[in-house]
Amino acid sequence: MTDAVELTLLGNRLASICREMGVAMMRTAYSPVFNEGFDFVCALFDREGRMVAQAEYNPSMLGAANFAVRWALEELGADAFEPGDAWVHNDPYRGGCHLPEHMLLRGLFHEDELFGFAATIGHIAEIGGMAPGALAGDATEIYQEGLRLPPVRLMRAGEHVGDVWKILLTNHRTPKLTWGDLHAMLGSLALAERRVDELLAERGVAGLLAATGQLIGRSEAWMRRELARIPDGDYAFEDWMENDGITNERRRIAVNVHVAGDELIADFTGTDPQTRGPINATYAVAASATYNAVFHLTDPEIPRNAGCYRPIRIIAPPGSLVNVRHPGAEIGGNSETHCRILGTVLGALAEAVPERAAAADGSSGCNFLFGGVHPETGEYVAHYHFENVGWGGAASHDGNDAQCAPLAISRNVPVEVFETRFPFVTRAFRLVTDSGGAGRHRGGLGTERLLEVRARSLSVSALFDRMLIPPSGLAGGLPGGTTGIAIRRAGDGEFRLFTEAFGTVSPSKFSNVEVHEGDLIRLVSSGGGHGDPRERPRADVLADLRNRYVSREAAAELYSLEPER
Amino acid sequence: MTGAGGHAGSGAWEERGLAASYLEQESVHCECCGRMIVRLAWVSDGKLFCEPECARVYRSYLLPRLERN
Repeated sequence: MTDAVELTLLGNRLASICREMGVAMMRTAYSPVFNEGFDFVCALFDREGRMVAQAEYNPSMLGAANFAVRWALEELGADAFEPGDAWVHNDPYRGGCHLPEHMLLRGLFHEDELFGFAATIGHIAEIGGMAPGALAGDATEIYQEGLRLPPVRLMRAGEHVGDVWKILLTNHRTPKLTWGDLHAMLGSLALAERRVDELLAERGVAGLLAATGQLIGRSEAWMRRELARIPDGDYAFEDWMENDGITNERRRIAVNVHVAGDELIADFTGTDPQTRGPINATYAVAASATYNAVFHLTDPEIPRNAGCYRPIRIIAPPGSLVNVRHPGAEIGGNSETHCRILGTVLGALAEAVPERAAAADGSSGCNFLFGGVHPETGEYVAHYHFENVGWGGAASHDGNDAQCAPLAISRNVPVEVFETRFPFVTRAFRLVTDSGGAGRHRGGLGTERLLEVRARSLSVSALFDRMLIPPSGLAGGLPGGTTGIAIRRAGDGEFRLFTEAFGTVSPSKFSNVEVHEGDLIRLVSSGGGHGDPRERPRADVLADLRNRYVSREAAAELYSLEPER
Repeated sequence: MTGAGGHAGSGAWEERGLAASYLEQESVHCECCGRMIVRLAWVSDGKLFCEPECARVYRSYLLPRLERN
């Protein structure tokens, strides 16, 4: 039995290994979505596939990390893993969140005895499929979204499995980036192997398994204490996806959050059936979003391992928007629908714990994808770009401005990096005045970015939501602004929606629109306010005015600020 | 486990699910949580669950709600 102090130190050491895995990946990856965007997660598992530690990287992959490893183990059997092997897997129907997210998995051995596994999941920026950057806003089945891999060996006894690499790199539009990013992930796994082996040399396999078992039990007890503080009851809420990219019908996400004692069930019965378009979420996405919501409302110090997930159960009807069945398109389920599932669970729990709840956030990845030949290098480039949004105001504070939607902790790509890598000039990047919902605690502001095309032609795609349905306010707070994507074509005087300029069905979800040199693309993100805006302290409204977060008109109309004499 | 109460009931593990064949595209799902079953299903009262815990939640939470509605 390891004592409490030693257990804490061990938990921190394991989490540090996971953090170091991420830093190694960030420093060695080729594509900006990795080295600038941090769109990955790193975790360690015991030999039964129970998570023993995880670093604070991307919450959207929380569920995937749990399920993808356990399911791969169940499918392959632990005997399939040999020292020096690494497996790759990106199948959303096998516990993944969406197709671009590739999991690399490696067995951790000490003196030929299996202790467990190291896993990284990372977003590979280009994976083939109908649109460069993979997030085609009007895909109707998974086969259009990119190359799908069941768990297969990428490395065997430390050597490349050439046939698998050939298939993979042949099917991606930017194979050099894929090569670099997968090797960054392999490097991260090698680092984990070294660090865990140091631990195993100190404790032995049986000793470390016993201690990590205790860590898991401790996290479970901690999470149960937190859940027991939420009043028992059934809390229902619903929200809507504005369309699926194929038709302009709204799609309902409904949840009943059942809290009983120290257990929480998020039941999505009543959610609309899966759609033709690519906004369907996998089971892992519904789980990730639910865990993410519960982690927002409970003690952030609970060590993230299998124990803290155990008291949280998810019911997601197969064939629904929150648990897509084969061969449904799913690529936007992670970026867009995750946000709405998260908001729906938080919306339900706002009734139970109002002091911890926040108004709705911008909740869209504002995914903008493009591909084409760079005029300066002659090389084909493709990129998955996302925008940051305003977060909802909360009972104790304003919403954060220009922060990644809460499905991720991703940073945006700096303008200098973006312009160096891709054929665009950034004409503006700024906060949008009045985009935060008015409230006693104001919603966070979104951003506006203007990108001028500097190539003869590029193929662009979009997968946005919240363009028609703004983030709602809470407790008397007002809704925030909407997101948007528009284009001012060279020679045209005004910005137009893509529906008007190119005849796309949806203004927010489309693929493979050809844009040309001189075209200007406008990307806008938006959070809802919390509490009556007339109760916002005058000094805060004046500060908002000085910073141009709020316009004079809004200050007078929404915050009842009288003009100074 | 104190949460939603109930018990898993009797049952047995059976080999089902995706891992059986790459030729099959149709997936098998847990009667309670909806999760895909990869290789082993907990079979109880003729229903497939991914684990005994799901059988417990099915009886204590989901079934009474389904019957009510």
